[in-house]
Amino acid sequence: MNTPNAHDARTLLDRAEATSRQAAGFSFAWLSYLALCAGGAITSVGLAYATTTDAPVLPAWLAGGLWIFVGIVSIAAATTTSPPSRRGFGSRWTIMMAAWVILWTITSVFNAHFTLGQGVAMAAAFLAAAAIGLVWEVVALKKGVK
Amino acid sequence: MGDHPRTQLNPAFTNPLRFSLMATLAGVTEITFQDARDYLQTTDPTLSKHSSALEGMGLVNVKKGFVGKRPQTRLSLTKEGQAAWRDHLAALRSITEIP
Repeated sequence: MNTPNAHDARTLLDRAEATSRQAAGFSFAWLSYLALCAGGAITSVGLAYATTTDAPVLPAWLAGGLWIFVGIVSIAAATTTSPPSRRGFGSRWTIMMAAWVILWTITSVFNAHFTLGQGVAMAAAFLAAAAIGLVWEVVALKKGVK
Repeated sequence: MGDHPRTQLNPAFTNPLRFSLMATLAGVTEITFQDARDYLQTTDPTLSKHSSALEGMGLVNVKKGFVGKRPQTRLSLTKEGQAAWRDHLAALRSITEIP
């Protein structure tokens, strides 16, 4: 094996860094996550409004549920059509899905006691989860691999 | 005086395609054989030869499966492969620091 000198080693490191960084792309699965969070936000506000005004809760469940349905059924297609995802995607996805499940559990279990303000706060939490998931993925892509 | 960092270089990665394949796999969770072939601008037999060699060393996972009725091979780094790649890059970094 030829021993690389300092200049060759620097060139190889640069090549490795660029090859690793450019190999991954944005996973479309995060668009499905966005739909799931949109569904959660709509359901939270809708149920809080229904609770405080004695309106029927079915439209809120239907409107939010539709987005959640779209999010769930699109995950498989999004995953298969996405470019290779950055190493660590599995951990990021699991953590963000766990956050979504916690928020959704709070919304579904405690909605009967929601004030409108609490409904809006839950919607904001869903929005924050969506933003964190997307930003986290973009940062992982930009940061590359050390 | 310690060993020269060149002794820490992994001989398995001196081939340019294997080096690029390891760098590619280090950046992704996994990649299909076709995507890797296109990304590395190589041919099926060449990539197959090198990925099989790295698989034989326990550095790369080669998973064969199906998407619908279409066969699909997916490549990823093993834990040993990740460690070996990190060590190789560390050795290269050490070489850059030699005055």
